[in-house]
Amino acid sequence: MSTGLVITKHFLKERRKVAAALGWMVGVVTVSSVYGYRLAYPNLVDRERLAASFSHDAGIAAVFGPAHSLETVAGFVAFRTLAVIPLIVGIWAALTATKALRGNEDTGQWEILVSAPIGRKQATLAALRGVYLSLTITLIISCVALSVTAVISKDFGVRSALYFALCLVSSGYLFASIGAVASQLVSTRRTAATITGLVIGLSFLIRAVADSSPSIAWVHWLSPLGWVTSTAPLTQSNWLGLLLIAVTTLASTAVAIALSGNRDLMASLISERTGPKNSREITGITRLWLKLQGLNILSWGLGFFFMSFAFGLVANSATKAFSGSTAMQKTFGALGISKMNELFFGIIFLMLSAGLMFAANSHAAAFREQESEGYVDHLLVSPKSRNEVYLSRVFVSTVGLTVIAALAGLGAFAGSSLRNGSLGSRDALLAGLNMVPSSLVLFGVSLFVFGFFPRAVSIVGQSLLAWSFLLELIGSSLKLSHYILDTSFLHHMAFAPAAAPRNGENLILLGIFAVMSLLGLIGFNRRDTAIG
Amino acid sequence: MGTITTRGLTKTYGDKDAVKNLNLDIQEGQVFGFLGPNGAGKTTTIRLMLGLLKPTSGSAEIFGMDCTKNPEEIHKRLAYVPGESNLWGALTGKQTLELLSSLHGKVDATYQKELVARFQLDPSKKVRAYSKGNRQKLLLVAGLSTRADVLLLDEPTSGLDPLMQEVFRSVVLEAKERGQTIFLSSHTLSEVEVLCDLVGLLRNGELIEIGTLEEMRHLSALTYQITFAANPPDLASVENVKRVVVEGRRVTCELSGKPTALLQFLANADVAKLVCHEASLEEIFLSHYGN
Repeated sequence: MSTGLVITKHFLKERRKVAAALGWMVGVVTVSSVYGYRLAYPNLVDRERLAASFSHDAGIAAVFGPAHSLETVAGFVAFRTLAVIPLIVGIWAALTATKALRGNEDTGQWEILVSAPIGRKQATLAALRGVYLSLTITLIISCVALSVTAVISKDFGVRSALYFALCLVSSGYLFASIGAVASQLVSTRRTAATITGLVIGLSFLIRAVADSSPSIAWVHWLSPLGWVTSTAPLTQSNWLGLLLIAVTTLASTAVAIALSGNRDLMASLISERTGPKNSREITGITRLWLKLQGLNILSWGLGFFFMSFAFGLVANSATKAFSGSTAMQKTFGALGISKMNELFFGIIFLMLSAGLMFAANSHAAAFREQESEGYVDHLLVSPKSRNEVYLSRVFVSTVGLTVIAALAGLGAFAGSSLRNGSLGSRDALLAGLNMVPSSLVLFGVSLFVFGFFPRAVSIVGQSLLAWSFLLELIGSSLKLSHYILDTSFLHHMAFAPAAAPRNGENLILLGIFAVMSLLGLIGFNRRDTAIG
Repeated sequence: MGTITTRGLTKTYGDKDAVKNLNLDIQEGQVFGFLGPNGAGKTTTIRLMLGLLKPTSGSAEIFGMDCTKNPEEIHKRLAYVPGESNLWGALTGKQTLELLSSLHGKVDATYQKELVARFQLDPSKKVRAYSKGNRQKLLLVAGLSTRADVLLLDEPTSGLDPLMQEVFRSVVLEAKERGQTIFLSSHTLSEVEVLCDLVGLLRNGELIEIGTLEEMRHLSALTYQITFAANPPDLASVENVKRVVVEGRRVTCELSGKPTALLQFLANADVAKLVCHEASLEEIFLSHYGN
């Protein structure tokens, strides 16, 4: 086997499982969209009212992209999934590419790979081939899942399903190639990922501006995410967007490969500042955790703020659509929820909760990573106790998650206020903070795993999150028993601001978090620190 | 009782004994050299002493306190310098020194500045921009500037150039003069030879030899280099002679025990040159671990 093939296999092997999971996620979201739409909008009158509310709303178009044929299942499915999936796949692919190239160079592993009988350019090509092949696994599974959905639901054809899958995953190839270029430009993985993230953010912003005003609609051709929405799968099918994505991917890949062969190893084309002359003093473990996690918390907080701000902007239009659904009125009316505006925010905060839970698990996983890479040893060989190291980390993460949640609430209020919405600042803040207990429970469980089975932190946390999210997505449609639904951490969350936060239940959740965290601490105190 | 004591210290991973029944007694002010090939269990022993690992059986004590039960109390009077370690890349060297000093709670700031100068370290740079050697200097400055009663040094000169290794030796000798107890795990045998009062040899987790260098030399064979005027005779059959290597007219061999038989044999041979020397630490090391 050639060296290039060995490198490709290595990178493919590292990422194939997550790539497959992404493919299944595409399938689950599509299936839930098909059946969710049928349940929420069972008749033509409801569907036409939804189409009328959404199709010409500038805010909706800005956040989700242009809507086509919303009175059909296919149109709605394309509209819903195209707004979310390409973004998720794109972000994952960008992170994967920057990790494979710059991340491995950061840790010195790239040096070992390129010391094998292979040129630098060939090695870069081989690594990128591994990344693209893992995306192809996502694509294949998506194709299978969407084709099966097409055959069973009969809402769209198999050929359309295949084109649809390609549109959903294409952003992954594109942003992976951009991540590959960024990895050649800067000297750390973190900076490369940030630059690629900025490209994705800017791309979203340009598309949002372009789609919000028909007079400047042409501007969306300047945005890679605009190319994705222009593909209009299941409705109009426009191959030009895909062609632009393919050409840019190939061009970026070629640039990344060329740059990789024309610079020194461990160097970058944009040189990094080596350090400020007067750096701020860091004393104590809590300050260290703040320094290490501060930027992460700020990024999540700003992301949540702007996301809920955007949803706040479109709340009025969405509410009209909800009001048009007799099925939704019936379902939520049974739960005592009658205000459709608050209901919309309730759903949004439920979705954001899943994101916050992801952040919570990533905090526990980051703690584990700090331990496995030996950083925590520096703290533990000082006179500080394990209790202090652990509890200060938990404190910073808990405060961080609370701040992120509060910012989400404030963002929703700000967006809603700009469009003269009815969401009050207190309700919005409470709705944001209402997300904290469920995410802390997951954080607590992850800490428990950290204490006793440290190597399983990520996988257990992510599995529980996926399980909770899946149950929320399909549980009610499948009319599952409440014993099963209760296993979802999200199921215990009140639909705030549509329903008042359940203080009693939240206290129990916080109690579970406290108990699990303490058990985790006991485990951490009793076990060996584990490097590697 | 010594400053550092281990009694039947054992750490097992599955079926493998990483450290087996280790008994050590290191007195205050001693410099102890801990030697062994890769994977012998040196770092595991140090991590057990730091309380980062829990022993499967036996115990380790420093200052008379159990390393598992009282790590924080012990760490107040101890500094550790790992041979290979990740440091936070986003922090500058200065921030790292301040952080590690504040964690330890006790640092001689004047001495720290002096060490920064002696090790020629630029603390204004981010750790990410440091070479491996400079990261090691940072860890050495942080550890040594605490002036802790016990220094646990795990291959502390890895990545340092010969000039900096020399600076390290002089700093450790100063610490020794101050009465600090030093536990030095190292592969640089010349370093151990110069610095250590007591040497322990570890193989597959077991202590196979411990003593002063002189005691070890006494126990070890003497090396003879004999150059003959004509073709050399066969020395392999001479009493107490082993490891005979013939290179032309020169014969190298080792002698354990009395030299009477060898000298009688050589008296009848045409010897042009005879050189005899005590075993170096390297030769002792190789005689224990070499094939």
